[in-house]
Amino acid sequence: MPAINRDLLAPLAPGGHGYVLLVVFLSAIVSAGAGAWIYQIETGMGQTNLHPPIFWSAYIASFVYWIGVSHSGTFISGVLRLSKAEWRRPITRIAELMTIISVVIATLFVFYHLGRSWRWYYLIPYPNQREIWPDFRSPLMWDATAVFTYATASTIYLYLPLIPDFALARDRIGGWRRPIYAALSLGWQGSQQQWQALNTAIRIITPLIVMVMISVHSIVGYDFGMSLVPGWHTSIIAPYFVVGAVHSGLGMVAIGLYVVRRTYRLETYIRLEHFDKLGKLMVVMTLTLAYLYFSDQLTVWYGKVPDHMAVLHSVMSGTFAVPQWTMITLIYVLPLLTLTIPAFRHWPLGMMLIGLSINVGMYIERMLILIPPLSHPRLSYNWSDYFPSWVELTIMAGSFALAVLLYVLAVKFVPIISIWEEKEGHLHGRESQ
Amino acid sequence: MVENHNRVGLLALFPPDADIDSSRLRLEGAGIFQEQITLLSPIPLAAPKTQATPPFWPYGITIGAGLVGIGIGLFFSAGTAVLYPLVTGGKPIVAAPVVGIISYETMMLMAVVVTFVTMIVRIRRARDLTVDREARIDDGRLALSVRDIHDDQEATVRKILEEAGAQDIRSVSADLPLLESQSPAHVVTMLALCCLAVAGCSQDMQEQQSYQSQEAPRLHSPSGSIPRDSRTVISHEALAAHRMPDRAKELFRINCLPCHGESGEGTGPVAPYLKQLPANLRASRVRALSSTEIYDIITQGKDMMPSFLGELSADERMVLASFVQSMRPDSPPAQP
Repeated sequence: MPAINRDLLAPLAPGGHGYVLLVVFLSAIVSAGAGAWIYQIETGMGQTNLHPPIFWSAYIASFVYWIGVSHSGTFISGVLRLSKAEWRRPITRIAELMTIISVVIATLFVFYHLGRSWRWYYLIPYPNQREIWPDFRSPLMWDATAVFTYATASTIYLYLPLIPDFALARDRIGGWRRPIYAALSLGWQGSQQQWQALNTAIRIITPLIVMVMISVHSIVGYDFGMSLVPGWHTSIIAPYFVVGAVHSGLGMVAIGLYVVRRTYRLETYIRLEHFDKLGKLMVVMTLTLAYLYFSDQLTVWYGKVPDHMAVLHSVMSGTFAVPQWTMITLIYVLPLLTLTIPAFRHWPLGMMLIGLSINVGMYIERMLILIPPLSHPRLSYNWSDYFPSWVELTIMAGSFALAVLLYVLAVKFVPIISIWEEKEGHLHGRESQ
Repeated sequence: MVENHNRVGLLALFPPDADIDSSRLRLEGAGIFQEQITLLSPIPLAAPKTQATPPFWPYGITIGAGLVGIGIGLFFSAGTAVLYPLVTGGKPIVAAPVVGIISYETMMLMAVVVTFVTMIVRIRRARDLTVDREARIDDGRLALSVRDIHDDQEATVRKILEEAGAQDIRSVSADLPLLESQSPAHVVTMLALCCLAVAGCSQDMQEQQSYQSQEAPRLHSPSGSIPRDSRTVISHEALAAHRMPDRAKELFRINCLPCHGESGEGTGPVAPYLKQLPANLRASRVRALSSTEIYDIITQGKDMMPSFLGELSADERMVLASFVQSMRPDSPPAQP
């Protein structure tokens, strides 16, 4: 156990030159993104390439993508904890941190898209002199409610197993962080009543958060599915969104596992077995997603409804064919070709690259969900095309850098592997042998 | 209880495989209550066999909170829909699927948050202030704290602990000062109070009814505003004299020109589309009218001409009346 403490608290030590350089580099990109946003606020939404009939585009696609990535933590940690999978232990914290950071980034995209973002509070129902009341029949209100619930619940879910680790950090790490750890550890001593309270809370909240997770991305799917736009109006959209979200989330976890393991030399904790299990899970998700996608497109193709066919044609062989087939290669073909080989799943770098491929593919996929249907409305007189403007691209890059920056900073504050759960697993492993 | 005896606490460290359960029983045999004993461990331990099944009440709290959450969802999605009936998209004002979705989310929110808060309260309550945090347990030891014991019991307890295999026994002062003299709760409360000051940054003034830049022309004065002058107080002449003709021209251009035309001859751009031709304001028939009569026509309308009562203030109508009256009857009526 002293070894576990030493190894897993080591990442909290102040970073070296490389770390500082990375933080400065990321901050620069974040500042560029912030500058672009200020510019967009100053000069108006005309800085984006939004135009009739395309009123939802890069920002909303990014919102959907980031909410999707946030499913990594909840799925890995929630579902695996529920099923008492032992191999979850070193992965949960890495994934839960991703969840909370990507929910923050996703929320930011809503604000970029709002245009007059300082009026965001119009969404909150409270008696006001404006005589404005949000219409709860709009899926966007469901979305706001669900994302708020999800953000709150996943913050709590990240925090719960952190309490004993914060107590450990409080006792072992001095400096400016000590009072913060002390406050966050809630006076944790490790008495049996405290353990019981904590475990009961985790046991109650875990199934709840899995149910919230499924509802959140379903509702994000409803944002599209409830409209009559050809290409969006399909009943399969909710499960398709949820599975797609988990797909990109698992990819992101593979990247995180690889980077954390390599940077902090945690090979004894994040073992090849973990990559192997994750790879198997990714195969299941790839197949499920492919199955849902095929069912959806087959229905459209067989139905031959002209409005829907216009969208399908533009995607399969028209304007959007290149991104479409890139996407299919990245998220279906490559993962299936590689992850089904057992030896490949034991190759961390390869797993990371597949995670990267899935995430690039899923970003393109989110764009393809939005833009082809919007650019082919039922009346063909204003069919159109879209590519993000430099302002949109800068904001997207800045947000991505912000996600990485927050993660890099969080690693210095939060033990990246749940220390007490690792100890518990160690003990279980010893008993079962 | 007893007189002010010296009361002490003991904290013993055990190896991870120590038989804590039996030493607990022996301590109880020596007259120590269960409440005085706290076992500290680095990981949750399996509950001792003597302990009953865990209580149901934490689940009950979660379920109760979920029910309250459903109530909140019902209130917002159904209650407010009744209060603010907005008809859109052919859906009923209170739509069951919507109520279901919103209530589901608020149910989850309340259940998770309340469970979390309950857990915080339980962890804080279970904190034993006379036991300092024993950092060494994180290296895999177990710690047994026995507190609030009489000094005559101390030797017995020490002996039991030593026999059970305790590696290190130290005494803890029974009335140890609080762990944190300034609890984080104070800091949080102070921060929350400071946050209240943010309310001072309200920009409600910017929501008032004054004329904003880029705002479309306003047709009505804000309700409740008091006219500064009206025709009962100021004479037409005085009014006409001190009004700038520019203003009158502008009002004429906005309100009259479409029908009556730039020169007032009834040849405006809209005139060809009207069933009945607009009046030529320079005709002798109009010239014969007094400014009060013209004012009344502007106010109430005449034949095809609509009333401008809602569009223009009394003041503006009067300025226009004077302006129309001041037009010179120089050219013959134009026939489109």
